[in-house]
Amino acid sequence: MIYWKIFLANFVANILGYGGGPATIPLLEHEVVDRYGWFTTQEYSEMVALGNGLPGPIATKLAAYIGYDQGGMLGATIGVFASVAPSLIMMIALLGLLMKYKTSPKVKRLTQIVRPTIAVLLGVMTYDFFFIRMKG
Amino acid sequence: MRQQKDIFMAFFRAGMLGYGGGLSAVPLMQNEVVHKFKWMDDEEFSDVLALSNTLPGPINTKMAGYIGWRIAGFWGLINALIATVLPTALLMILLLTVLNAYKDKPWVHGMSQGVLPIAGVMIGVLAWDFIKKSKTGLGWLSTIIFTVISLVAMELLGIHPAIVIVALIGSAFFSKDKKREVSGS
Repeated sequence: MIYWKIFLANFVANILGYGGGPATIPLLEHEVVDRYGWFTTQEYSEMVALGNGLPGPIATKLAAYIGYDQGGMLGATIGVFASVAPSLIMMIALLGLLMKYKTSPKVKRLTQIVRPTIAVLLGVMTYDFFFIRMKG
Repeated sequence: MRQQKDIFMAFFRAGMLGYGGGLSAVPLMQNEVVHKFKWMDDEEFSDVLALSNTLPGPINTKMAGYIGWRIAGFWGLINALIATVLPTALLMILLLTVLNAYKDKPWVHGMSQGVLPIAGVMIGVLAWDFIKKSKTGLGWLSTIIFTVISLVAMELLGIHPAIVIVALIGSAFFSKDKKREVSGS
């Protein structure tokens, strides 16, 4: 079921992407290039480059195009929904709780501890982009 | 109705003028929300920003959605989200579709070849940003340790990033003994 896969790919990449849209870029690559094989690394790099050249949030632009490519307009809608809705719902539902703990070192550590991992993912992606370039 | 129009315009402007991903739109959003329409004061806005940072996923859409919700309930939320996401999402689909239609033309092909190193540099800069930020939060030693662990786990052992991240989040929650970091901050 393609729509379910579109949802899942975007959901996983965004719910794990601590640090905003850029953190989502390598995670999403893992899903759509490595796992589902919808795009090649080359195609994905084109999407990232073009997405970065356009204004607005990057994660939703990627989600929209990936969804559209795999499942038309409905796919695009599902992709954007999967990237935006879960964390937004969390934010609204947990607002009181989050306000109380926003200065808690544990909550801060949560974001901090994931950063090196995201950096590694982005670093590996950089390497991939250049390596493929040399092969081509 | 007028309020919904204001919400749409505020987030449309902030989204369309914010080049370079989510965070560049934050000051623009602040300008619209705090200074122009006075829906929130500066303090409240920075609270919303801090909370969005704590949760995963895109920052912009969380802020837009939440602020829309605060001003005008469910439809405010939907409206702010549409204004933030839809214009550029459509642009992206349109441009890539056109580009793919001319894929076999040599000039498009040459362009795609040129794009790879550009995207490579871009992502490389982002990677460095994350290293710098984690140095500020964790210090060099922990940053290097976590970087090496992540690299070994994902690249050598081939563990899915999701598993690594979930494990890290778990360890952040359950490591109660590290009280010295608490007193330090």
